[in-house]
Amino acid sequence: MGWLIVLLVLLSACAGILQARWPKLAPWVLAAGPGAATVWLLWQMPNVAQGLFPVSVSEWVPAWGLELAFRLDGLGLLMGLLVVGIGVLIVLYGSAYFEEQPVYRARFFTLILLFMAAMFGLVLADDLILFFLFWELTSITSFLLIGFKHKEASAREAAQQALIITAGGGLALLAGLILLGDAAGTLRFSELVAQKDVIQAHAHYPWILGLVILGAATKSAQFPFHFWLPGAMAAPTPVSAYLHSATMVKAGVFLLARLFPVLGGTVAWQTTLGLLGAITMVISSVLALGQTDLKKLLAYTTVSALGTLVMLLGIGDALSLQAAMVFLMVHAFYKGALFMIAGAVDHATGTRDITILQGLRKLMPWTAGAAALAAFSMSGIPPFIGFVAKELLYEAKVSVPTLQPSLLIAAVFANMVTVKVAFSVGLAPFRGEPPAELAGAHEEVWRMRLGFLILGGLSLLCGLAPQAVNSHLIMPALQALDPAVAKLPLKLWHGFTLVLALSGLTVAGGVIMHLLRERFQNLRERLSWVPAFGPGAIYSATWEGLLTLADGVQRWIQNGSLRHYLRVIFTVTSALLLLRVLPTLAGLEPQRELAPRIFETTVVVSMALAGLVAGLTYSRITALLGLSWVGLGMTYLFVDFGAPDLALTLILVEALTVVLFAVVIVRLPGIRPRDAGGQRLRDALIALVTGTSVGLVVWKAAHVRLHESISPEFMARSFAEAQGRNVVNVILVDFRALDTMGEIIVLGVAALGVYALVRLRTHDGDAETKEKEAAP
Amino acid sequence: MTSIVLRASARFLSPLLALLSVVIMLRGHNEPGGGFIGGLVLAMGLLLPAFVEQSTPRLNLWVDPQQLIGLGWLIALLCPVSSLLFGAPFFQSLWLGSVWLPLVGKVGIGTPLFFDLGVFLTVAGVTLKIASLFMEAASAKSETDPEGGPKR
Repeated sequence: MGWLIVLLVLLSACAGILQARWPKLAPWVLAAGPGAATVWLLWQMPNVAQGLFPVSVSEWVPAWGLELAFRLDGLGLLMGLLVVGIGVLIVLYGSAYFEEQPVYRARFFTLILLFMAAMFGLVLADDLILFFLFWELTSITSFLLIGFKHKEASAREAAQQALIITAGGGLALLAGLILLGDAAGTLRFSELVAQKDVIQAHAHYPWILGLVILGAATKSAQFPFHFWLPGAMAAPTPVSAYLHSATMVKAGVFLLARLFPVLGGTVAWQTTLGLLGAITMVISSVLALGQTDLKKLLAYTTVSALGTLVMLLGIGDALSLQAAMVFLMVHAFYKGALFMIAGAVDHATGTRDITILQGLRKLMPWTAGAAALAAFSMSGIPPFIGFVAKELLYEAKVSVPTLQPSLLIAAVFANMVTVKVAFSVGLAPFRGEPPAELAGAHEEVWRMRLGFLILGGLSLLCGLAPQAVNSHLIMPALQALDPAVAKLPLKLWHGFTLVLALSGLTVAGGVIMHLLRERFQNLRERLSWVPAFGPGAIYSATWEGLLTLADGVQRWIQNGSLRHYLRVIFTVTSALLLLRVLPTLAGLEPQRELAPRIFETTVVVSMALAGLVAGLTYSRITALLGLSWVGLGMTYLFVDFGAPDLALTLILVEALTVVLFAVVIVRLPGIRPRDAGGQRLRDALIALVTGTSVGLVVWKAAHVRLHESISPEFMARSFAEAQGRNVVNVILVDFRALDTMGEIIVLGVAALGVYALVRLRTHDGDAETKEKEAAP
Repeated sequence: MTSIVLRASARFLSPLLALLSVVIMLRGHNEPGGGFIGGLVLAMGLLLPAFVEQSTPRLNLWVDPQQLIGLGWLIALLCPVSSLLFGAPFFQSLWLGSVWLPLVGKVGIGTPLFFDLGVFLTVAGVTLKIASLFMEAASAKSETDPEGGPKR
């Protein structure tokens, strides 16, 4: 299983080259990746239906108990087929969509296949942490795909918003999964089920549930996080069709379904998810009413569909679960098709506004046909699979007597809006006579039509053979949710029941809404004050506030004054040192070998005097000379204590400092006397305290021996094993060569840093100062 | 910076310092010295003419210091990697033998020597890079920008 993911990643890596060398061949080669995965899944279908789940486990980080554990069960099969099956279609579709733009085409191939790999991994992962990894990868690839046209500010903003929300929720999910793994004592999804009672009785259960739901709600755009999904429509249409209708946004629902047998069935689960789904469903339906953009219309109904799925999982009886699984598949079919159709229409006409689009049937007959199929399925009209799903959905609600009737009313309303949108998107643009400005529209190439034709056709075919779909896909998936579930039938025709009446009512209501659509377009204007208080506005305000705060903090801490930095660094360092060292100093005595000798004392006193001169003078040259004297004195001390290498290095560094200083000293202003007085006194105090604290630490260090000294060992081994008599050098290039490696890399990077700083000054510095002067 | 004595002696001192730097680097394994010190000496030697010849010091080198840094990194990194290739643990030193060189004496040839060469080149490159940048910055301020405005 893992190799399929690797294959997709490899294809993603090759996409750029393929596109550059063989642009005609590229879509077919790249589509073969998800194609192979689809074939493999279909091949495994009988096994999965019999309960023989393919498993693949290999070591990953044994020290942390992490494994590359994959497992294909019924739920994974259903979701996986949607991911890679639609993946094949979307690669071909996108290749035609970006036919004229090779740069976009290469980018699309690379990112969409990378996303596909992540999503496929998410579906197959059996390890909680592995699952989380793929989960985050889908967030990141989604971010890149929403920001596909990264030169447009709106796309960047939408991408950032989607990333912050989904990845933020991902962090909550990680916490939840860790708690879950901790409570269950295993990181395998497949082993969690047996621990159900332990987990649900665990003290952390509310936390686990809350965090997991938070993660799922952000990913699947549940209220109040729903606003990122319509924003994500900034992505090109092939991306929206794939990520933001059929696959990625379903990841949250998929997670809830995965964990249903572990976390589900409790009152907390039912109320939270039931409410969350219902609220999302209703709010997004209301928001969908006033839209006139094809993609926005589809996006809001996608949110509504996700709400429905969450609600069904929340209710959690067998019928609801079956409805959820069927609806998951059905929605992917018709919504994927309609998104692709919206893209084709946009591509052909240059507009997505439903108030302009009409009469396209004559110009794009194939597209119109597929649109009708998808729209009928979406409206739930027999014999389409959408009808089966809706019947089941109502039946599930009607058959649970304890359920609030309000949930049923909410579902009927949301479905009416769905019908309305299906008519507005799938039928209205194609009816009537084409206006003059659309006369140039024409059918797109086959690669582009293939996707929506197949998905539209599937909507019809599955409706005609519901039992086959049920036994091969739906029931195995259902068993993953509830192993004890009895075999449920899936029928097209239920007879004349209350459910059928509700279905009829829904379609009628939807058609009426569609006929009155012009009234709803005013609704959006009338409700324009709402967004100012909505979660989207709260998000924006929080984001802006955060930026302002960060800006303020940065101005305060990073104010650009070197002296300020030094003061802060020295004060904090010495305070920390003193805090730690002072209490341990009692009882320390000067070591005998450190007892002062006359010559050394003289040198040290002269160094102190030179330092004093450097601190007091107003001439930079004098200060430099004073400091040099300190350095020279230090060099002498090194020589005196038998460290010739240190002495050599130090004296060279001293010399170089003087040389470098000589270059710049003529450009530096004199030390201004305004520093005299309080400031100087304060600086002197800081210097004194810092020097004292470092001195105390050194003194203390001479008394502490945590381990046996390794010097004798180095001395003994230096010549014998490293063939060198200079032990300092042997340490540098042999014993501790890795440290040296790190040091020379740091040195080089520091040089590059200086390079950047100096270049910034010489090239942009003048402009910057001019700007600052111009600003009031 | 126009002292005649300095100018005359710099011409001799610069190559001498460069030679000395190599000697220091080579003998470092047994006597005080090594790549770090050698690199500093090399940088000093190469910097010296820059101060003597012009009123605004400028560095004229046949090699870009930045490339020296990269070369140094590369050589230093190749040493442990070659140990790996010979089946020894990472950074385990490999010795090929030794040669006798004038001024230096017996020098062991092995990965530590090449590693030290990498250190030598990196240190010299870093020092020269920073020095040349300072010189550039200092002279850029004294001259007016030929394009008459900041580059963006």
